[in-house]
Amino acid sequence: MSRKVLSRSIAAAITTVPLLLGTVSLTAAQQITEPLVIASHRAINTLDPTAMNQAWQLRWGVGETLMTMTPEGEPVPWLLESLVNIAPTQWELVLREGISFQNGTTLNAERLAAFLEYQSANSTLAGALLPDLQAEVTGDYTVVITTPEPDSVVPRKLVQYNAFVVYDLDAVRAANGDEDAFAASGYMTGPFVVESYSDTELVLTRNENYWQGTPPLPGVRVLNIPDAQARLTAVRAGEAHWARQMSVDYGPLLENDPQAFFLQADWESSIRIEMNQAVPPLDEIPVRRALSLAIDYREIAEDFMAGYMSTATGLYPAEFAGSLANQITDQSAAAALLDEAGWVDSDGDGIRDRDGEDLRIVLLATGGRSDHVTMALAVEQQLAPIGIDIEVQQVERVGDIALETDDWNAAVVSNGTLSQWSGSYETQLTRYHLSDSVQNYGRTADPELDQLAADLISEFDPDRKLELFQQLQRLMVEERAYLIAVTMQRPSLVVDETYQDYQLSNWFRHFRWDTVPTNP
Amino acid sequence: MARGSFAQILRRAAGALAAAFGASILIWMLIPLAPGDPAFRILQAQGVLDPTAEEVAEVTELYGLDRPLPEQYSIWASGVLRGDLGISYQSGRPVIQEMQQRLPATVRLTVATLAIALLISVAAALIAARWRNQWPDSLLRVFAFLTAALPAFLIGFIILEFVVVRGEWGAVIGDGTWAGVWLPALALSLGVFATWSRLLRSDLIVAQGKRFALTLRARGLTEGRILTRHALPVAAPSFLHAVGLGIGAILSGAPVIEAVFTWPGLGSYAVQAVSARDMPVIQGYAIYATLVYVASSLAADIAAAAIDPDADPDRVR
Repeated sequence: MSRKVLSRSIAAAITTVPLLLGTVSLTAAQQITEPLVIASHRAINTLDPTAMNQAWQLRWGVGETLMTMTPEGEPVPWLLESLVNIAPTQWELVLREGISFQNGTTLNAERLAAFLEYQSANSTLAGALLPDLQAEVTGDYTVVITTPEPDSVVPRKLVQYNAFVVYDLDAVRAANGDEDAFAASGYMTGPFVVESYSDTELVLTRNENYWQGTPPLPGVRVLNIPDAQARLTAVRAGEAHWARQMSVDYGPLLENDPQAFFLQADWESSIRIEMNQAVPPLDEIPVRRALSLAIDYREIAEDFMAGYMSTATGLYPAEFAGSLANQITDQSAAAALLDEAGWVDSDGDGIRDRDGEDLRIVLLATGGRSDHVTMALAVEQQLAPIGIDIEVQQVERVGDIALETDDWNAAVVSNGTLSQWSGSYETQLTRYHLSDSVQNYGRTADPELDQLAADLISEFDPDRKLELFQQLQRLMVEERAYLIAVTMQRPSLVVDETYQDYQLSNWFRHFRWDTVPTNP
Repeated sequence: MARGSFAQILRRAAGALAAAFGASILIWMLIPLAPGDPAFRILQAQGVLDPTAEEVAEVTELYGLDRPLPEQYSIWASGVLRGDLGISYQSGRPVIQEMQQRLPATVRLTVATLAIALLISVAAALIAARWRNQWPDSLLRVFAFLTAALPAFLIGFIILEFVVVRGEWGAVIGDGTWAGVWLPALALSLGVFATWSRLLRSDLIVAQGKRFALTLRARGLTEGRILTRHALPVAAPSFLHAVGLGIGAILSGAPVIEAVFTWPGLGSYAVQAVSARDMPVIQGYAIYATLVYVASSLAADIAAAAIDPDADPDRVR
């Protein structure tokens, strides 16, 4: 991110983003009398904003972040008017004037600074993202934050809505952990206010004093329906407008359904194949590279996934700034690499071998994820003709096996190469692919990669950062072949006929302050 | 009740306690035997799919996951005996408290299910026995086979699709009240209908062939009166045993049906816990299910023993 001004006009953010996302006119929307009913898969556990994983506040319009993202994944100011990098470890945050919490308290620099410091010190996730954050008030609406190390990812980290949804610290302290007190405290800035919640339902009403204007919907009800089929039936029976967390399996099923519609955003992040570099044969770069070259990514997306996912041309979505299309399909090149490495079919059984060992790869897939299993079986089918024997093993949860054992060679993993929370590739890299990563599934231990990641995080010049980003992609795909993006996911939602033309967010921010039915 | 029967019930009660104890050990082992770092699992149950090292360390300390297994077991077992089933990984609230909130809905569902299941099974058995090997019997046999072959969730979806979505009667999202209990109860009761109705039909037919029935028939009593007034009490003991054991089948079907109908009871609570691997909740539900199963089996034994053996006029004294 630039050392220069990062700011974007908040007015542009207000007007452009909703238009891009297809919001209808407010005149029609203001007549809406029914709340939006959402069938969700997970209950709200607590209203305490300092607890872990409090993504629902932004998801349902109760809370907001200082920054948001454009559909292309670019961080832009939201509650902020501007965010400027003024020194390697310092950022100046200028708040928009006229923003209040739902309880009427003004969001000013003093309250913002208190929130940021408290969150960094008390939220494990926020603390991991921006540790030891210092915030100094330099004006009525201006705060300067200081990070211990130069960090060019700060704008994206402030987008991360499971860590930095802004709240009124005084109100939260006064609530003292009491859920009813939280509900009554009006502790956030969003367009909807918590009216009540239980483990079966969250009821929200509109915030009449919302800073962007009066939300057209009178309220929102979020129902906790763990079973996906039951969520779908609720939509079909007219008891819910939206059903969340519906797998791509429902896409073809609903193609001709007049009561429920399967919507998808344009793009998001990848489903990746991790490769265990600690055990043969994927400890060899040529074998990893051959795998990457032998997979037909178009066929997986278009045929096996019936077009409900997009073709992976690189580690990152083609639409993401700076992404390289360096993940290609070339089975001849894959075969040549294996020949050169001594992997040949010496016994004529159709499987390459070397020193008496067959070229056999155990590929893990989460059994409960039919899309993962389909992808794994597709890879098995595609790699057989060049003599790689893939054994697909379905397990309950890939992550547990991959971290704790070495009884596997490759694994299909869904949380891709970009963070769904912030669009950051840096945080994904730090979490999964460096020597000291907490979830280093592939056992990657490459000082050059570690250094490259550190350089990326501390680099502020956009041109140099882009150069490093592309160097990273070449290293990870072409030179060392650490990772494969097997396909690109697209966020999805099942809706009833009144929302059938609704435009989804690439970043799971489907619900917006001015959300209205598209076919009321 | 005879002294022998009482001793038998005591033996059954002791066996039930031993079964509950054995089950408790197996139930506790769910956590340490599950693959993966428990701290990771807890965080994932809380929706933190990509926990940081700091989050993992915090949870490990908070839940005492670094303590030796025997110590963890003794803490858990003594807690269970005091009614403390631990804290839900997902919600952070006491499991016992959440179970108490959901228990009334499950009790309603169970009572309604038992009522419907008994009503349709007894009625079907009487009809099938009365018109044995005639078309009503054949029709009921086919229906019983169908309900036995279809899994509970499929019966639930069929009811939802044709009654709620297309018929626009009832609701998909259950509210836990008596008004909304009948569709999920119907789905659940069909799960035991086949066993109960066919078993009772067989016993009724056996009773119809006994000497007392021949005598009654000779006296001019109608077949219907013989069946309802005289054969039914004779067939009741084995049917009651099946009902006692059927409670287990109802319990095993309840989570699926509660999930399908979004019924806010213990079953859907358990399903949610399983999908999130919320182990304390799974343990709590397993304890509840074990206790209910053991208690219902015991109750069936007592009820069967309490039925007057003289109800069978042919019984050799």
